[in-house]
Amino acid sequence: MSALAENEPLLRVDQLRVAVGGGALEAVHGVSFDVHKGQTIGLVGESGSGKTLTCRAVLGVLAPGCVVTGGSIRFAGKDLVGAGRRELADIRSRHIGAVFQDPASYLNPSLTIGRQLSEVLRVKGGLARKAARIRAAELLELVGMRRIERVLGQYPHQLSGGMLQRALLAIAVSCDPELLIADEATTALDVTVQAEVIDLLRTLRAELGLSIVFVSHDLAVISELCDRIAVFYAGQVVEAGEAGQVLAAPRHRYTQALLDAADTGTWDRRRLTVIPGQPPALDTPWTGCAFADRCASSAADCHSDGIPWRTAGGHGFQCQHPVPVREAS
Amino acid sequence: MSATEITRIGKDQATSSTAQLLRVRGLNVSLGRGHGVPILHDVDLDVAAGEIVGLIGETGSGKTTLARAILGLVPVRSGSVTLADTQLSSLRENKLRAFRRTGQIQYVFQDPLRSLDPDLPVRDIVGEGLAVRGVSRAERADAVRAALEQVGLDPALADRTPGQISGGQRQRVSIARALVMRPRLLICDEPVSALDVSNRNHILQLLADLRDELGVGVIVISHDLGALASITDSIAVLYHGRLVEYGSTKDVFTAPRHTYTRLLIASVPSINAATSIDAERRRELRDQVARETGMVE
Amino acid sequence: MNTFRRSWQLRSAKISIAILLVVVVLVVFGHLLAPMNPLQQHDGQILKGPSSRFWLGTDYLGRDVLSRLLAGSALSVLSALEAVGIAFGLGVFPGLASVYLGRSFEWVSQRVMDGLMALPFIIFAIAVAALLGNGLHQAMFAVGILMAPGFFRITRAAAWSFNQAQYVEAAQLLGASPWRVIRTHIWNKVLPTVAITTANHIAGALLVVSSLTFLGIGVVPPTPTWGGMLASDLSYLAQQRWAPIFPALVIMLTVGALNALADAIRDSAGDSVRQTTGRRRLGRVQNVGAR
Repeated sequence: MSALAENEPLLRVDQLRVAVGGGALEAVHGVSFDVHKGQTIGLVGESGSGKTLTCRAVLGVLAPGCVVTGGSIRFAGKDLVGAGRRELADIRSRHIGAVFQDPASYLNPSLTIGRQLSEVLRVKGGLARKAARIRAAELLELVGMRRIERVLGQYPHQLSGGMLQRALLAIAVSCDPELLIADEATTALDVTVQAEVIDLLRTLRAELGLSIVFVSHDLAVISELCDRIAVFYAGQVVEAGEAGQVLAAPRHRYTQALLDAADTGTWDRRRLTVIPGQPPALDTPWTGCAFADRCASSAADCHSDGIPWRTAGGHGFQCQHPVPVREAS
Repeated sequence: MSATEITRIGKDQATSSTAQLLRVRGLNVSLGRGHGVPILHDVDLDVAAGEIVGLIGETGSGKTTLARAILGLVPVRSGSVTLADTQLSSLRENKLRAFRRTGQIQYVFQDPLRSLDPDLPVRDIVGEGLAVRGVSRAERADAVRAALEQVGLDPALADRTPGQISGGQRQRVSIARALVMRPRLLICDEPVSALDVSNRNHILQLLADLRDELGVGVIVISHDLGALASITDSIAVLYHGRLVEYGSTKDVFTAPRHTYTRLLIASVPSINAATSIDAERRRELRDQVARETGMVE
Repeated sequence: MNTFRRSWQLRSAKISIAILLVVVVLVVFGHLLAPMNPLQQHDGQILKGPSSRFWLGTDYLGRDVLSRLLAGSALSVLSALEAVGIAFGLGVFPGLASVYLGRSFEWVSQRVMDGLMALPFIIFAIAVAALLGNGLHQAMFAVGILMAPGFFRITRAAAWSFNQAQYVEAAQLLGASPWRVIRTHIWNKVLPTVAITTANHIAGALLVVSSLTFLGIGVVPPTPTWGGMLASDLSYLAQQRWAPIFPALVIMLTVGALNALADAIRDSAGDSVRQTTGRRRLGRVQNVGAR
């Protein structure tokens, strides 16, 4: 892999469009974001907002019937959309790792963890049997697994969800990838285990210099981990910027609504707020802002096209009537 | 301290004035063949009418088993489950079925996709309990419409099957199936774990409204502590089949007494940087839990 | 019932239904349509090929094949249906009951079915004929009993797997009786599977009639049946190569149509069956959500 030019992002997704249903229905409408070396970006949004499709497009593992219809995905300067199958497979296996919500379904139930891990190391890393075994133990130690010798000989069904996710992380980072994609990787886990996985991702990022694309519908988890946030709504990025900035002073009305609905961390009894309505269905086109129909602050001009993407200091959003900037207090 | 001597903290008296609804005493449950594997040890739990109890704990701590034991879906080895004046743990076969037809306890499953018959329209799913009870078709239709409106669903959805509606709508359908029976006690097993935040809030707020408006008693199992804090009156913490902490929501979350509860709280992610997860503190708590309870992961 | 409605829309289903309708017409009016007496032996016309007089030729006794096929259709098809009907009744209902009536019924019914499966077919048929007298109904009764384990096992397996579904537990929590659970949640899901088994067994029964005729059990010559004609014509393969073609063709078309219909039903059932039995895969569900 060629060395990155100065300031060139590791991953640049530019105006990505993905259609589902055999290419008939566009579900991701021109999504753009950059991931720089060592950076963690959080993609947040409701289910169906296109986060997962975007990730799968980057990984080149879109489900049958889903196709990239436009835009580019550049990884370390190489366009993944136009790349050949072999080249793509090579980049994917050596440079991008991935973990998902349901680790059990990504492991073979009839092989031991040690066998699966060393298999990856032997096939992708070209290690000999013995070396692979040793490296497998090292990797499990890296992901904070205890009693490693025992785990190596265990089958997936003998491990808890948190341990499986660790094992999958070990496989994901086994070939020293530059980028890790974690799609709802902590969603199905217990809160204590989720915290451990968040810890682990922080450690891996520090030790391996990983860049991470972290997908979640939980703003709190995103804020624990991410430097930057991209807020997805109806297949578009509606707001993006530094995590602190987006969370402390959101500009898009949808981001504000998400924050209002999220937990406050104060343990007080309060009325839980709901964002009324549903996101637009894929087969119903809209003009202007996709969120306008659910937005309390929308006006007539929200329904006309051409709402500009406004940026200020790396914080961008696309909203006609944004949340006013609060005075610094 | 050995595993059997985990401190059990009595619930404070805040809710004792309201009518007692569910009373669980000394519940022991073992699952599996022969003597079985003990899952629950001496669990006590009270739910009053108009009270929401949040049940928290890690996977395998026995939360679901406790719910299923209350419902009579798993055999109880010793102890009792009483709803108002009916001792549920002694009901068998026909008597149990007759009790269930009264609809006094309703259960909302974690995964609506699996707990709703994929081949039946929403109308038949929601109306099933009434059909079992022998309510006429016309009355059923009215009750189903009312229940769907109560959970914020368009009654026009009644003609669709579960596969034709969204995940959030499906979970509301399964709550409507429970509400149509006019339950006194509602048990919800992770009702929101698969939902995004807006749908989650919608469902949980619905439970809070049921409590406030109809005086329904509710048990909610969830690992979403922040949301539980917003709607529950009391919190029960299960750890390896034992109730390790039980008290009013405010007390449990702001002044937890058991180390495991502290660990749980320290694990909750937060938007607020000041309360974000601290790996160091969590590790300390974790080791302390292991020491105190004699249980290692 | 969605399954059946969906399957009607498949072309293979339409074609097979058209063929089966023709078969029904043959069953009802076949004997009237026969151009000649199916039993009349035409002198000097033994094993002739198709001609303007005998459209489908003649058999080894000089009888008109077309007339025999038409006249024999009612007996062939109805006897097959009788056998399958008996098998259905003896297999499907105990199959459902074995899931719901508790351990002892389950054990007994399974052992009985295992026993039936171990019986050698021909010997059992002869024994039944000896016991109940030789006749078509007795023979079909024997065939039905022997086919029952197939229905039993398939029904039981399907009902058992659907009975594990969480919505069945939900219904039980509402106080639904086992009978109600079967009626509202199980039966409509088991039915496509049972329909496929039925179609396959009707095909099998059509052929079985012939092997019994061969032994002189059930239909006694010279009464024509499709299977009986096929069996007797097969012995003259050396003299006339086309001899067994027409009865074989009729059986093949009927059996093929039944199987195609069964396939169509299974294909359309796939969806609902997979949704309930398949382990929920989060990856897939997520994609559905993302769509």
